[in-house]
Amino acid sequence: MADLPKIAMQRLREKSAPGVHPDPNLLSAFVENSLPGDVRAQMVQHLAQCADCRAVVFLSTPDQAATLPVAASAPSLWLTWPVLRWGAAVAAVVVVVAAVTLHRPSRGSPTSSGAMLQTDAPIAREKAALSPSKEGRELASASGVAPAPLAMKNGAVDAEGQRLDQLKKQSSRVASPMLAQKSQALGGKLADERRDEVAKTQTVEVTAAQVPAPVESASTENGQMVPGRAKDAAAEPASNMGGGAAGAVASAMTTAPRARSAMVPVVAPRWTLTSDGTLQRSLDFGRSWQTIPVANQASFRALAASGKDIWVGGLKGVLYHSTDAGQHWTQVQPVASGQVLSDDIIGMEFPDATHGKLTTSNQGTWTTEDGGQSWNKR
Amino acid sequence: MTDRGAQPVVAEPSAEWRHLLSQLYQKSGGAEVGLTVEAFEQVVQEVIAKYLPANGPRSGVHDFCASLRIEELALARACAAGHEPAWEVFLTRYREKLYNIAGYIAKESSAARELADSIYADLYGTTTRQGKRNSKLASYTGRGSLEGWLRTVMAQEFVNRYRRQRRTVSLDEESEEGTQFAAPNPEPAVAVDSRVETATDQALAELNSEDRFVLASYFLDSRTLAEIARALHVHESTISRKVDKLAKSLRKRILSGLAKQGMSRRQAEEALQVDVRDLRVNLRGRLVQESASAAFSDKKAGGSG
Repeated sequence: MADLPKIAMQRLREKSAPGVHPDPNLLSAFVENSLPGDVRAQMVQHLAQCADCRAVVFLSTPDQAATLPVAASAPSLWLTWPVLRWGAAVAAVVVVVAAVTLHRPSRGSPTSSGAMLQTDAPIAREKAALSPSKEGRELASASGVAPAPLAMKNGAVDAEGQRLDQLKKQSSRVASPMLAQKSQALGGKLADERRDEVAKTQTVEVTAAQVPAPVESASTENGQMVPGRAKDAAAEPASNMGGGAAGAVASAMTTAPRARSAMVPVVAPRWTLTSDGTLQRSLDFGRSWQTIPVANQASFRALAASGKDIWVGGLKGVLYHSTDAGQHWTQVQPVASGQVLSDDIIGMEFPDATHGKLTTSNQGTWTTEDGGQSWNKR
Repeated sequence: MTDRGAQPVVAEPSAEWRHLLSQLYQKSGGAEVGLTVEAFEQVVQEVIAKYLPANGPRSGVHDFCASLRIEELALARACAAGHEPAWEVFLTRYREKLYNIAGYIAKESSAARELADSIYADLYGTTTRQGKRNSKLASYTGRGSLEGWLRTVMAQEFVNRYRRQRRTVSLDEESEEGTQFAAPNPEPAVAVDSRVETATDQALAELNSEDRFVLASYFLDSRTLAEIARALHVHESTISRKVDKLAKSLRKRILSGLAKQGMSRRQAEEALQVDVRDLRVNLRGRLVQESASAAFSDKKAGGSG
């Protein structure tokens, strides 16, 4: 990057005559790119001369776009050009190696597509074994190496990362430079996928020492049910402060997971509702927010979060529950003494996974002591 | 919510205005947060008077109102008026965001909490003026999102605090260094060639505002390319190319200006190499940027801004 002559920097700093400072309304509108052309031009003219207002603008500009739709299913990474390009390269390598090895006596156990990766390309084989991707698994199976389990947990990631680093060093001694190059590309791609996997995993593994219990589906005459709720062996600290009237709706940071390997710090998701009743989640301490689709045309007015457990409620008694931090949702229809909840839910409190209270627009109160399986109305 | 004495753009309540107001009120959800139609109308009139010329076309009023964040405006003004239902909604949506924004701005947790608590108090309106609650939310006009406005208000407060603290620290540092006992400034050992200043000023004057903004942000404020790109809503690579191109063309223009003033190429290049920090000219006063203007007044910026 070319440097600016020092005299130019000095004069640029000295030639500051900012005049009247714009108010926060205009500054924020500028940050959001919502000013008309002439007003924006005046704003830029002021900002070019005013270091303080520039500082405000840069501090006000969020890191990322505020809302990015988070699909329940993973976003498709397979159709981007870099992925297609490297996918084609990997496919070419697979074809070439398969053709070569079919003419050579195999060293490992025979597979459907023949042994492929030899000891002179350890990195490709190992990465294939570690890869959750389809190509990786094919490579792994072809080479006779059992692919790693698809769901890589946080704790395992670090160990595998170290292993990959070691393999990268080994790859410098690989006989086939082209294969090593492709392996590096595959490794890079796999590293990206692993990061995504970790990110996804992180969003789920939020709470601490939960002992996974078998899920049972149940239904009672008092309420339709969520496909069963496991009682947690150790409830995490009651971080929920209730929605609606109380205010804060995000779950607090939980203690580090005890049972599993959790070497990677896990960020508890934060939740909020927009002005139009849309649910949003942040995984980066509120820097960016993603819209979480729950149900079509549902407008929510209250929410309660406790670890991975999220409850949202809104107009006409609409009530949804998620036990996996918003990945999947189940509609819950509270029924008490034969009466179905149909009033607007304007507040809720769920201090733990089993006890909850809903406040309705009719000043009614609905409570549950079994995670929503049955309800009482007051 | 006074109208600050400005003449409302819509002086007579025509049927068209009533219809527009009715639509806006319905869209704003003002009834749910305790804002009456009359209060809502007063808010809208105030905002229109602030940003639109008094004798502007009515079509401009429609377009302007359509561009406002009307629901957030109603919420903010209802909060400023002290309506509890509005505060319930505000707390649900923004309380957590407020602290998160403070964390992002201040970086350090205790400073962030202090900043957020201070802003929260200003928003709630812990003081009164002429018997009315003095809430900062009364100044929100709906031009941008309420969340963006909260960010800007918080950033503004942080910058002001930092500036006050910097002045205090500077004074302490001066005391420690003993500059109050310093001898008068000595004669400058090297003076800046006035031709260099002239050529530089001419070259800078030829830049448009956006180019100056980019250069000032990158070279004076040490902002990253990504930050500048986000502020201008362009791609980072665009800013990267622009900075490189501007720096090179500015240098070329300065050299060209010096050549026109009789300097040889070599002399001109040597003149540009001089580090102004080595100059014992009275740079302290010139380099420290003291802002004399009142920070962030509510007056109109320019004509229609």
